Amino acid sequence: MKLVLTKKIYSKDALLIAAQVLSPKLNVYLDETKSSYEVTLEAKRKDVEAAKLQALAGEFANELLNQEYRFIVGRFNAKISSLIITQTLMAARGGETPAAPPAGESTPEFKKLVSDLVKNAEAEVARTMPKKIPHQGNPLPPVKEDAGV
Amino acid sequence: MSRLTALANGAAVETGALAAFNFRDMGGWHLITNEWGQFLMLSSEDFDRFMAGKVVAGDPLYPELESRGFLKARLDFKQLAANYVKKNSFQWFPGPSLHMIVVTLRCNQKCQYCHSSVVDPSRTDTDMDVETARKTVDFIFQTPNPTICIEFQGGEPLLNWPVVKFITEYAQAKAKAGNRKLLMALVCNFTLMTEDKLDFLFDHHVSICTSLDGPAELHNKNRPFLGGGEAQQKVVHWLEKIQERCSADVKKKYYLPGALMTTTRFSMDYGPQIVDLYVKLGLEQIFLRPLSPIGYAKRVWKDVGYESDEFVRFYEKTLDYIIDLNVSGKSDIMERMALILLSKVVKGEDPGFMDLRSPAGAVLGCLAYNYNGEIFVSDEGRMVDHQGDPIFKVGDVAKSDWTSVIDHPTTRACVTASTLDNQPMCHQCAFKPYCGVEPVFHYETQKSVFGQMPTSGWCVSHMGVFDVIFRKLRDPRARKVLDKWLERDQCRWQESETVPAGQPEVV
Repeated sequence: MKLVLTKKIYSKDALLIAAQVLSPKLNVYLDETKSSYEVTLEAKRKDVEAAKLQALAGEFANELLNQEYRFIVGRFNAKISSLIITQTLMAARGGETPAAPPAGESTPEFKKLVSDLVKNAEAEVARTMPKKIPHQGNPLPPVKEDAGV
Repeated sequence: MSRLTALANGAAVETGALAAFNFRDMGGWHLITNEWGQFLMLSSEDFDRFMAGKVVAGDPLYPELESRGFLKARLDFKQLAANYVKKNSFQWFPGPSLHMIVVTLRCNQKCQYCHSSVVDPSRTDTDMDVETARKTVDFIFQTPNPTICIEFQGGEPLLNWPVVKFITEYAQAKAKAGNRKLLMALVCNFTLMTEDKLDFLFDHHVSICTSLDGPAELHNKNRPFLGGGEAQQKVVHWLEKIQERCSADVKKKYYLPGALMTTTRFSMDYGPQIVDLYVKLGLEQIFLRPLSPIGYAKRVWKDVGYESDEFVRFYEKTLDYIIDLNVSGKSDIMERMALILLSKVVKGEDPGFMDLRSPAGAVLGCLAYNYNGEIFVSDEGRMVDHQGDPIFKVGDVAKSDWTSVIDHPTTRACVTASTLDNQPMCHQCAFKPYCGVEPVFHYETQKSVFGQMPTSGWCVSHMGVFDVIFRKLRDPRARKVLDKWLERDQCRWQESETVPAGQPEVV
C-alpha cells in the first residue's frame, strides 16, 4: 500500500517516529520527490488481508498525525515546557555538586554499627535462607507485540 | 477521536478580556479551569455569557471569575503564582522521596495479573544479597531530598526477610547519622507473616500494606497460591490481628494496616461486596484502581483485562455505593482515588500521587531498585525490563551516582514526554491542571513514551474518573460527603507530622 504525503504538512522526523511506533506490525519504506514523501507500507505478517492492511495504514496515518501535531504543540509551548522541565530536573539534581556524606557516617561508632549489621544479616541469611542458586537468566521470554492490548 | 468538547456552532466568542483557560461541556453545564488550578462550574447560560464577554463588573459572576484568575485585566499574579506553586510543589522537590526496593522476585502466589512477574520460590538467584542491599541504601541516601520513603516490594518481600531487616536497620542508622526524615513501608501478601516479623515491623515503625481484592471467591481467583489453594483467609486473619494490636496501643494507631485492591475483569460485578468487606474489616479507605496492561498483565490481558470505559462505569457505580454508605451513616469509608483528585481540585495541593503529575513521578518522584541493584524510572519500568526490554533502566547501585541517574537520557525523555504542555489534546484539556500521563504505560500500550492521547486507555479512564468527580462536586448530597473526607484526611496528616527528622516515621 502506498501513501503520498505532502512535505508542506508532514516532516521526515514525524514519518520516522510513526514508522518506529508501527514497526512491530509494518515494514515502512520511504522515498521522496521535491514536494512529497512516498511511503510504502507492507504488513509484517504474510497472511494479512487487504482490509486489515487498510486498517494498519489508518493506524500509521493516525500516528503520523499525532507526531506532527505533537511537534506543533511542542513548538507552541516550548518556552513554558522547557522552563518546567529545567526547573524539575535541576531541583531533582540537587544543584551542581552533590552533597558529601554526613559527618556522622565517618565516625568509628557508625562504621562499627554498619559492620555489625552486615555481619549479622549475612549470618542470618546463611542460617535461615535456602542456598542461593547461580543466576538462571530472565525468567520470562520476550513478550509478543500483538498480545492483544 | 478527541474526547475534548467543542463550542456550539455559532456561539458568540469575545475572549479579549479573558485570561487563558480550558473548558469542558459537562452536559447542561460547563467546567472552566486554568493553569493556577482554579476552576468554576458554570451553568451553560453563564458559560455562554462568559464566552461572549458579557460578564462585566456588577455581574454576580464577575467577582468569582476575578478571584479565580479568569479575567485578563484583573489577575492577582502574586496569589495565582502561590496557587501554582502549592499545586505543583513537586516541581521544586530536591529529587525523589519514594524508593521501591524489590528484595526478591520469588513469590508463593501466582496472581492472574501480577505486575511483578514473580518467579517460583526455588529461584533464589533472584534474592537481593546483603552487599547489594547496602549499596542500594547508600545510593538512596545520595538523593538530596531530606525525606526518604523506602518501600519493600517483590515478589513477596517476606521470602527474603533477613534483607528486609538489614535494609530497615541500616537505613534507620543512616537517617539518624544524616538527620534525614525516614519513612518505611512493606507491601506484602500477609501469607508468610508471623508474630516475630510483626514485632520487628512495629518496633521499627515500618507501616504495612497488603493486597485484598475482595470476597474469598474473587480474591482467591485473582490471587491463588502457587500450585492452588486459598489465600484470602490468611489476609483477613492478619489484617484483623494487626488492627487488634494497633487499637490496643495508642502509639501504634498510625500503623493501622492498609489494603490495596486490583480491579480485574472478575471484579466488575463485585463492587458493593468488595466495599462491604473493607468496611467489615474496619479499613479506613479503599482504592479503586484500574489494572494496567504492563508486564505480566499485558500477556494475560485477554483473560483479565477490560476496556477503560468499563472501568469508569465500575468506578462510578462503586463510588455511588460508598457515598450512599456515608450518607446513610452505615460507614465512613473513603475512596482513595477520589481523595487524590479532590486534594488537587478542591484544596489545590499535590497529594503525592506519582501518576498524576506533570511531569510524571518517574525518577522525579520515585525510583525502583531491582534485586540485582539495577535502577529503573519506576516499578512499571522495572517490569518492562523483566519482559526483556531494558529501556527504562537508568543506572546500577554499584556503578551509578545520583547525578548520572538524573542526567540519564531516559530520565529526560520520561520528563519531557510526561509534561502535559507538550502533549496534543492534554494541553487543551480542562483536567490538565490536575492530571498526568505515564510514559511507561504508553510505551507498553502504544509503543511510544508520548503515547497517542485520542486512542489512549490511560486518557479514557482518567478523563472518565475526572468527569465522575466533578459531577459529584456539583451534587450537594455527594459534595457534603467529599468535603468531610477532605477534612478527615487533612487531620490525619497533621497528626502524623509530629515525629522529628532523624527518627523513623509512619507512611
